[in-house]
Amino acid sequence: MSQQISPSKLPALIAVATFCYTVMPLASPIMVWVWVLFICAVGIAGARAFYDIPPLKNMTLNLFAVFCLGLLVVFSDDYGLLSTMVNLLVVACCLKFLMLHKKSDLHVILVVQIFLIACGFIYHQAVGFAIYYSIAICSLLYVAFLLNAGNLRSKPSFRQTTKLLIQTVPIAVALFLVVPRLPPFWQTPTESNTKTGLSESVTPGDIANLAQSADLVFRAEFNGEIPAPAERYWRSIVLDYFDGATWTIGSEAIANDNQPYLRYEGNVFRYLIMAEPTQTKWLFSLDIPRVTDVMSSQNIYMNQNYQLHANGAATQPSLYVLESYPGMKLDHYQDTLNFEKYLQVPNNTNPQTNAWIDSLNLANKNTLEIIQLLTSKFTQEAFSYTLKPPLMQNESVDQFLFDYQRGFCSHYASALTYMLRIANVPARIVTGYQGGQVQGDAIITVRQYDAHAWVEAWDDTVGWIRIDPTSLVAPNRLLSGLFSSLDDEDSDLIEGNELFRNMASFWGLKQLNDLITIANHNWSQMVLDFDQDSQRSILESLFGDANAKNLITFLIASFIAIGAFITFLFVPWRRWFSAGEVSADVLLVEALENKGYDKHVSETLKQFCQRISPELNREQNNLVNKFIDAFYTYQYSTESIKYSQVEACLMDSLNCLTKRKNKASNANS
Amino acid sequence: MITSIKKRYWAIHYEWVVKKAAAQQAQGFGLHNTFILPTSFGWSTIAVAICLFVLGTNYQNNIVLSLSYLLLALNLLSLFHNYFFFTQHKVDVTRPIPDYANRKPHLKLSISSSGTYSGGELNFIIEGLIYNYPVSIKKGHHKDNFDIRLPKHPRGIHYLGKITVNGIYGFGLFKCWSYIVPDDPLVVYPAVEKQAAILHKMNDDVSGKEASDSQISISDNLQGIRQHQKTDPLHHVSWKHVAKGQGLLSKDFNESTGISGWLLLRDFLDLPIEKALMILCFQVQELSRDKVSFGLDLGSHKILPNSGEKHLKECLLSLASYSAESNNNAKAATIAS
Repeated sequence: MSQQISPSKLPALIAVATFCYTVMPLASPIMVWVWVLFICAVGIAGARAFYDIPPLKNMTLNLFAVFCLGLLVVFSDDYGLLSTMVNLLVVACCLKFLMLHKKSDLHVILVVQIFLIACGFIYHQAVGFAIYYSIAICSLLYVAFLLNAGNLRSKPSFRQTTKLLIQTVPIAVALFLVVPRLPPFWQTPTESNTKTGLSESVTPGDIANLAQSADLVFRAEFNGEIPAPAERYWRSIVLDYFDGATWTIGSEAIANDNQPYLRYEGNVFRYLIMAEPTQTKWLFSLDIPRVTDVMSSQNIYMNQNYQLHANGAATQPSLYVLESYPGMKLDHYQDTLNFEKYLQVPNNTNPQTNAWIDSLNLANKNTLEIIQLLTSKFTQEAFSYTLKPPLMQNESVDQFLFDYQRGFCSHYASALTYMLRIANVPARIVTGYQGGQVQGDAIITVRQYDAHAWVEAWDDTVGWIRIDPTSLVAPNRLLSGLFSSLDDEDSDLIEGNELFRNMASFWGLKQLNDLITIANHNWSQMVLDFDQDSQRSILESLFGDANAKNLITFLIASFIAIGAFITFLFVPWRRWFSAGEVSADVLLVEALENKGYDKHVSETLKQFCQRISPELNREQNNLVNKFIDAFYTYQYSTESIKYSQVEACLMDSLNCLTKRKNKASNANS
Repeated sequence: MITSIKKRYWAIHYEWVVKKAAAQQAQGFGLHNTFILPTSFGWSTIAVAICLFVLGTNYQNNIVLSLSYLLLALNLLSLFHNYFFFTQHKVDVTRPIPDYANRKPHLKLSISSSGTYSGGELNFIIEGLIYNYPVSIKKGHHKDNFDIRLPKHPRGIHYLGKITVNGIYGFGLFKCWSYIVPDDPLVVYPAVEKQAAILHKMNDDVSGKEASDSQISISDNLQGIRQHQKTDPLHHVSWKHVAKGQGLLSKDFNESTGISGWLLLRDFLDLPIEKALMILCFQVQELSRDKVSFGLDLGSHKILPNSGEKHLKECLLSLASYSAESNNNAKAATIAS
């Protein structure tokens, strides 16, 4: 394309580019037909920058808009409210691009795009995305500036935009810190198609979907020693009811509130957990947890299954401080435990497994011996670990143990729990996360692909014993993480896998990865988790107490500070304290006017000086002409010349003009 | 009823504007005469900021809340920037140049700036039409002229009423505006229609009733060719001689000197009045060009014979301001005679 983009078309072109840039991270909630519309609209709007393409007629566009609206309504049930809103905004923007011919059309596009960016922030909140979308916002504001820039060119317009934005940021930050945080006005719709975290049911026969996501689940920041990889079992949900296909929570464990105080002893890990919203009430901890501080709005409890949970579903990030005592036995609450429910199995299912257990003659063996016997099946036979197991929908335990012998953690956990129950050992499945990546020295980052399931079996003397059958088949899964236990085909299932592997293999990238993690961690702590409590602590650190009076004083002081900042920006300090604000040519005209030469309104500086040149002496004429040349070069030519040179010429001219005057006045006297 | 209330409202509004603008031709803007409100884009961003606040609060999403605060802060700063941008300008409405009814008259504005801001836009709204002036005054270049071509006006003397000046700067979130009420009217002469002039000789009694007038035909009698003088009109230059390379020579007309007489409106009573005025408009200019001393009799209003630029302007102004009522009076006078 050799055509030059005309300045009037530049804002539209930047708006199109920004639209593409904004929409890209929102790819997943956007419907296919909206993508088609998007490509057409962007293509047409982009082509308009180079060719004259008339905008669509209003009538055609309105009909098309009604059609699109209809489609959105039809598909809205499948996509949920939030995704439908994103689609609606994209469609609105596309249609406006198709009829773009006025400044006000571009204004509408800018407003819609700002809203679209806000929706993007609901989906993505990491520091990278914040930077990404900040660029989009700057670009949109640049477009808004260009629309009213007058004869200002694109480069100075960009400088002005940047200047205005920089001035805005401190006020926005002050408002962010000061404006009181309010609770939600009403229940908000959540994303219907997000990659879920752990769910409250596990169906081993279904295909693995948890391990396919590299989304962040939580970060743990340790104070002191961090646990070894094999110790990092992050307990979340305990499943005890099996219907033959799915494991679910049968009856909820009693909360720990009224239980006798546990005697915590042994080795301890102290850490802070920053968990992303899980949409469930279950949280994460190493065994046995003790909550020492909660910085979220919801309280956190531990129940008799040693699980941590909040009052309600965590739709916001959670922040809490824990101590974990990994050496303690899980043998509390024996009196209240209902062992019946840990022996429950559905009737008349998995006959092959039942027959095999019967054939083992386990009657006289203790729990540990039974466990050893049963798990030896995994080690002695050709079991393998895969994320792409075959479907096992009928008699799933039988099919897994005797037919396919391939699966991932929930297959192994389900099969072992079932076998233990048949062998009359109380057992349950625990789901959570295993492992996590160590960033820096003290932070462990746990992602969705670290999701794991293991088994707990009850022994009267030891209490609950953790058994991880998956580790028997794929010991690397435990020690080196998920990737080491997968073959190439399997590992392709993981999003962004290539990137992660590269990061692990290159030292430099690993450093970068660590840096990003720490940045994200700080971002999360300082910005994302900034809430009422954070505001209260600011208030306390400033005034010592967070009462209403101090709050009002704080608010008033902040608004006065904002006012002072604005005053600082707009008071003409330079004009007050120096003559630098007055332009050079004005000073020359003033000097000449003082000498009695009046400049006409319609005259340029050059014409004025040419008119009066016969009345000036040669030296004055030379210096004035030299100044005019320098000034015009500085003002209008592309040649680069420093303003100090112009000022130097001005000073020479002024000196020369006043010298004559002085001489004349001396002569008169 | 509603119409009368509307009329009354506009009358009060106009009076107020005139008072506020203090009928200044050259106007600087300041707190006393400047208004400021968000533009439609500004209102939209405020609405979006409120929506984002609700969205951010509902999702307890701090980044969405920050975006909302950023928009509010942008609006707050834009208010000040826009005000200071607008008040750095001074608009000087020069006296409107009289023009003819078939042409678009010019209105010249001189815009000066103290130069803190560069760029931005000023809009002038005159009689409901918007004239956009992209500010091209750079720092150190303190004055600029803006030539507005008004739409064609009918013959007459027109007061332009209030001129609304509005300024938009930065992201276009706010709009400042003020009013200027020019003192000088726009004079629109009749369009011209060619027709040879007939001058009437009159008695000293110029009331017309007893006038025994005789007609003098005016034609361009070429007396000869002479050296061009600076004072000669350009249309007297003999371009034929110039083309032949014989230098700048002027055609010398002698017929007009010494002739004096009257142009009478009543000569054209059979024509529509506007057409009659158009013919007279042509004739006064022709006679003036030929330096003929002539008077103009429009019935109720008469201008004594004279010549020169001032006389011409006086005649044209009379033609521009001639009203139908005086025409009727003239007709009545003729019928009576």
